Amino acid sequence: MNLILFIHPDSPETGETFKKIIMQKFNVTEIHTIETLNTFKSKLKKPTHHNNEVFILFIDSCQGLKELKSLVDLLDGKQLIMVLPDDSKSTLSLAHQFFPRYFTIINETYNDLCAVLSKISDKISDKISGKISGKIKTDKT
Amino acid sequence: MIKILIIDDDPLICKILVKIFTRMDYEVSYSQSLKQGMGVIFANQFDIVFLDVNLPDGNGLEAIKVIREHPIAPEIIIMTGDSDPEGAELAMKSKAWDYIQKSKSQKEFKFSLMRALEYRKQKQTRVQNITIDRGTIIGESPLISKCFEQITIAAGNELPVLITGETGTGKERFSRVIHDNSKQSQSEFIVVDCTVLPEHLVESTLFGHTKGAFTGADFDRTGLMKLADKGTLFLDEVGELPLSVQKKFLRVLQEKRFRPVGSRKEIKSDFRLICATHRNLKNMVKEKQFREDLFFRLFSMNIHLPPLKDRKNDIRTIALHFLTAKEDLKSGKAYTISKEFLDELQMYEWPGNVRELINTIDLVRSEAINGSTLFPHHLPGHIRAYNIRNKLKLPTQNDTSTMTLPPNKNTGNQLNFKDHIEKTKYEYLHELLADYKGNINKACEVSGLSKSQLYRLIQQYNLKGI
Repeated sequence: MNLILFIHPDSPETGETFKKIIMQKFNVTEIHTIETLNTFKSKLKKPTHHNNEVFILFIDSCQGLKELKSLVDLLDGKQLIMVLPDDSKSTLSLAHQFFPRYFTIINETYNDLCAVLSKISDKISDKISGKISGKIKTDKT
Repeated sequence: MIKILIIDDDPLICKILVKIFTRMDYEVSYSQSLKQGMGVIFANQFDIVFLDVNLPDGNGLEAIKVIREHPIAPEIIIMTGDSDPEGAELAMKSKAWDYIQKSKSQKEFKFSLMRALEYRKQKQTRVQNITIDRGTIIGESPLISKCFEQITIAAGNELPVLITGETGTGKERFSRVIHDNSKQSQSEFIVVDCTVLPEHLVESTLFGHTKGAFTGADFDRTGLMKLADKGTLFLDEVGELPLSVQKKFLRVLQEKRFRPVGSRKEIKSDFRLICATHRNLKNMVKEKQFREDLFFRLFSMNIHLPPLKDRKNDIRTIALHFLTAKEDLKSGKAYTISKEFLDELQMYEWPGNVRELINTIDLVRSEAINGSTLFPHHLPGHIRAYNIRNKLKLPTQNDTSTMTLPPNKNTGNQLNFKDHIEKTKYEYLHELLADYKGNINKACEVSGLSKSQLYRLIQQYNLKGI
């Protein structure tokens, strides 16, 4: 699993805390941190043939989230997880326009998000080892 | 022109009906066996089929279900020589349009036909009158057109929808189209990816929780079902829902209320449910991995998305669309696309379906130079290798009228120069690895290739495992 972590430029401290927690729990070589919007856009525009990338957007303000709306199309089809500033109706409504696979709110432990990432990691490993196929099993009876 | 097919082993019946319906200015065909008739149905597009029950090679009643799987299924009128109440009941349960005894008059046959045609016309008009915004879904093949018809119906009602299909066929995109064209479009479209949720988080994610409700519940959380109120809740890979949650979820569907984890207060939510899965839920029910009552609830309306290899005509359309659309979005590059490039795309089986095709287009665009023409060699190696292997399996064509070489020479090779080179490389590498039983060091020593070169070629020609 390759984690691409985008920390909004307005979130340096909270973002750093989050990043430390993630780096403690997951293999450091698999985490790529991006802190500017232009670099993130370039990364999103670069195609990849792999489905093992997971994008985490860390935003600690509603304004920051609005600024990222221009990325919605580039994020289409990507495995996206979001860390949001709060769970107000307006924030969540905005977040769902990105169609995230999971989202959480800024907190102290991120236990839930780490559990989700572990599950995604297992799913990717199973796919690579051929345990999962995307084909429908037909009823042979 | 209205097209009618008669399937009956009695040549006299066929002759009479052909005469009657031809006089009504319809195009009429007939088959005298079930097998032949089925072949004709699936190779063509008929409006009405008159189907005998007792055919020499099968029972017409049993064929109804199969005929209805045609992308644009005809209306079926069952014919029988005898009065058979049980057969009539079975025909109606199987959604045949009508059931008629052969002894009935011409007038009654015509009446039954006219009613079936009237119904068919109304059905087609109703679908055509509702135009839906297809979003980014591309395709005009019969299979996908049928899916669009079903989406039109789904968008007009509030029944739960179950979208099935292989990974990468566009289940989520279709769900969004239903939402965007439905009454729920002004409210949220909430995605729940059941594959990423660990079991202990499923309930709290869906229903919500209060702070402290369980270890790790560090804050209050609004459940996704509440967020989907008045909107659409999309459960991706619904087969992954734990059994314990399935029971609670079924209750929510029935009563439209639920209690967040750790809360004493029930809350309401009225959402439209769309589910998707690549798994066979019927089998999961049999294996007790999925609740039967929930399955029947979800199966109110099933839309099955075909794999891309079953709608090859759409491959070109999709590829051209994304080659054009992406260039506006991204770098402003422009390309010419060679016929050979499109032919290669059409030949490949696309196990990853539309998603794989779109990813491939992205990759091709990133590597091609601005203003260049796209050729097969721009495609990833594994696609070219797959296509070449398939080409090599096809029988060679020896045209004796133009053969000029001596008979003991192999003149069956129809490959162009580039494909011939690819074939030669593939055969050399295959033999090299087989001879040295996959020993990379030895293979490098003999071939003069470096390890990195050899690994790259193994990847390119998909030679792992030799």
